[in-house]
Amino acid sequence: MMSILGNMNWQDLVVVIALLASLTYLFRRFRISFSKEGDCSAGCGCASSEIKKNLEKR
Amino acid sequence: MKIALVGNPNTGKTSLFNKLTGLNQKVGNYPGITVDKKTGTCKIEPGQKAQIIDLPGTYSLNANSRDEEIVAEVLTSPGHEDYPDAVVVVADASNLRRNLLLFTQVYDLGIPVVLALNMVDILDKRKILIDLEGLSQHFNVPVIRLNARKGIGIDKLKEVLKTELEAPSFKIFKAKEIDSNLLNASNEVLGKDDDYRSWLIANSPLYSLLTPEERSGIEKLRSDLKLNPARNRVQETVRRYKYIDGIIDQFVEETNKGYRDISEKLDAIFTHKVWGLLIFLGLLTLIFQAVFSWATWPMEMIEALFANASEWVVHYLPKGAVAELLADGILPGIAGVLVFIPQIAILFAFIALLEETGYMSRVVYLMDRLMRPFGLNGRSVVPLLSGMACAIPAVMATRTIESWKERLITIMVTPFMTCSARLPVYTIIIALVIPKERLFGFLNLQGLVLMAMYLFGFLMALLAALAFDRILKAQRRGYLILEMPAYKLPHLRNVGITIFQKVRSFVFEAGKIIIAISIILWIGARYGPADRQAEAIADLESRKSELQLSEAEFEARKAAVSLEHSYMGIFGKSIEPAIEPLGYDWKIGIALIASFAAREVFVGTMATIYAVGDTESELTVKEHMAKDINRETMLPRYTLAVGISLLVFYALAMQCMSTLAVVYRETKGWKWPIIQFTYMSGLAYVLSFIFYQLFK
Repeated sequence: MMSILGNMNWQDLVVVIALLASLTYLFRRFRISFSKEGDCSAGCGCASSEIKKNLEKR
Repeated sequence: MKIALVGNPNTGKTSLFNKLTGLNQKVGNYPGITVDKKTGTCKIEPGQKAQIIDLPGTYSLNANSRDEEIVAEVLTSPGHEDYPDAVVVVADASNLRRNLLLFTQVYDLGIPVVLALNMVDILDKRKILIDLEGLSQHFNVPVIRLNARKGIGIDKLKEVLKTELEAPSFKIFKAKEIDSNLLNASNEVLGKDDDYRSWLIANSPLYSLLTPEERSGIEKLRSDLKLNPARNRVQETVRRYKYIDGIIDQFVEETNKGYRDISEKLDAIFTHKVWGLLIFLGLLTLIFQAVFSWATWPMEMIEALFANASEWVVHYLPKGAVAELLADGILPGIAGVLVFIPQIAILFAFIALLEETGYMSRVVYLMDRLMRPFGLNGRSVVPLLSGMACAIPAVMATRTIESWKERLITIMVTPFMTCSARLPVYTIIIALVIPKERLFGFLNLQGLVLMAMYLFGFLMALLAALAFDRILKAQRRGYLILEMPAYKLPHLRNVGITIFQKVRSFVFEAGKIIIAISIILWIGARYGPADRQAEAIADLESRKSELQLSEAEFEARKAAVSLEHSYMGIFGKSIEPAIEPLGYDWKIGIALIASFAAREVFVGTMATIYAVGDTESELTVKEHMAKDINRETMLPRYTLAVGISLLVFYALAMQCMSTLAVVYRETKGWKWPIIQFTYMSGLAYVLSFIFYQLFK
């Protein structure tokens, strides 16, 4: 692990962080969608920011 | 201080809410007529703010559907987070009799109440006189004349809300006179001495806020007393109307009873079975012409801006993975979102205008007539039409359909309606394969094809409903009660707020997903098994002299070879045999798979794949796609046949994770979302295959 990290330059590191952030975001997004209270991720204007906040608080 | 706005549908409640709160609004998730739970803040005097809650429109507190239940639930539950300190009942002044039913129910709950008589301008036109002073004295509550759209009466309302409002002083409906045993028992179960609350709860099948003990207690007393809630509700309504008739006689005077206003005259044309449909088709043509024609230059500007930004990044940032990620992944991804703002704004501007003028109710009426032969319930019309914006609130809005089978059919066919997420996909494919020509000198051909796609989606929804109706054998008992609001001049502020909300939601909700997927795709397209990529490049280098390509052409070929041997390329190639019969190559295949998360991902995906596989970063995604050559036929990749096949696939396939999630929640299981996904995507595959083979 350390040797892989050691061979990386800062640019590679940024790419890895971007990849992890994207995967985490998508995973959270769909977990919320399929959760009991749910949420919409489409561009329709009905997305509930309040529900998201409530879930995050929990 | 919390103030709830309550009223029948189409009484101008939302206009009043917008006037009171401006842009200080939050949209939540109450389903129903306006679908959302809206809250906002309003400054009623310096240093004092009130929280305004816009509850869904309802005709009565005797709830029949989930959205009506929410109103009853909030107003009867002092422990509810939205329980108000005061209620403003917004009533349509020209329909006072019907509107007073809800007012008298709220009044009996004992919450301080204000009666706001809205749309008073119609009163003058119809020559109806209402004795406001008399009404106010009779009920001992403030009664306000309001024209929410023009802002008349808003200051007076705020002034009233500033004062300490008193709770109503008497009960209009005496529930004990109907069934004192029921009242005594339910008061005991609920631990309250509030007759009307207990009456509503005991006679409602819905209430979800009760504790398990209260629920079982109520259920027990219902069976012990052999309660007939439907009969009780009717008795309540009849008694209230008797009381209201007395009020109308006393305080309302109609001096011109035979009056036929402009709305009625217009309705004779707009709801006519032939003229009405023709006018509606004409309006649709206008809308889709505008979506294509008016949006061109702002879209081109946005595209050019991002293409230049990518080029700038390539030239000025230090070479490396970050610059490439920005130029070929993130910037094309963002462009793929922002470029559709003009079209989304134009589409929703029209939809908001149609809603604002009151024309949308006429569309619902026309559609009801059209849908009945296909086995769709009258109440399915609203969810289906709202599916034109997004299937998720549409599926939630099916809660108003009482019959489970009819509701299920509506849920199963709603995703065929063309949602706003399909708009970006349709636009780019139509722009690629349909010539920019005009029919009869004024009709934009591309706009016509876009409209045809909307009609195709609608037709498929009808046909699928017919098929489900035969399979599920639903009994058609449902009917639609629809109120035709008077035609009004649109209020531009409300139109503006709708456009702002839709665009914001598209950019920030869909946009985040698109960018996240673009990043993942870029990484998958940029990197691959090191030895395979290196071997392929070495092989190309060794053939450099025999290929006789210019340096730029050779670099472009190198980028394409590297992409083909990336993780994404290997994955795409592995699924290519399955999609080849539809006319697609592996790049389209990747976009197709990514679109199963959400359809609008298509454009961002194509942008990323083409940006990685080409060296010309200044090109837009459309230009990249237009110059893609099918190496077998040496013709453009996007022929008419491929374009039509793709359009059909996106029209029919169930490519929306969020819709599947909401169907899963609404049907409480995996069975129906799996059936929906399978039949829609199977149909998409088969019909795309047929269309491709026909047009090839």
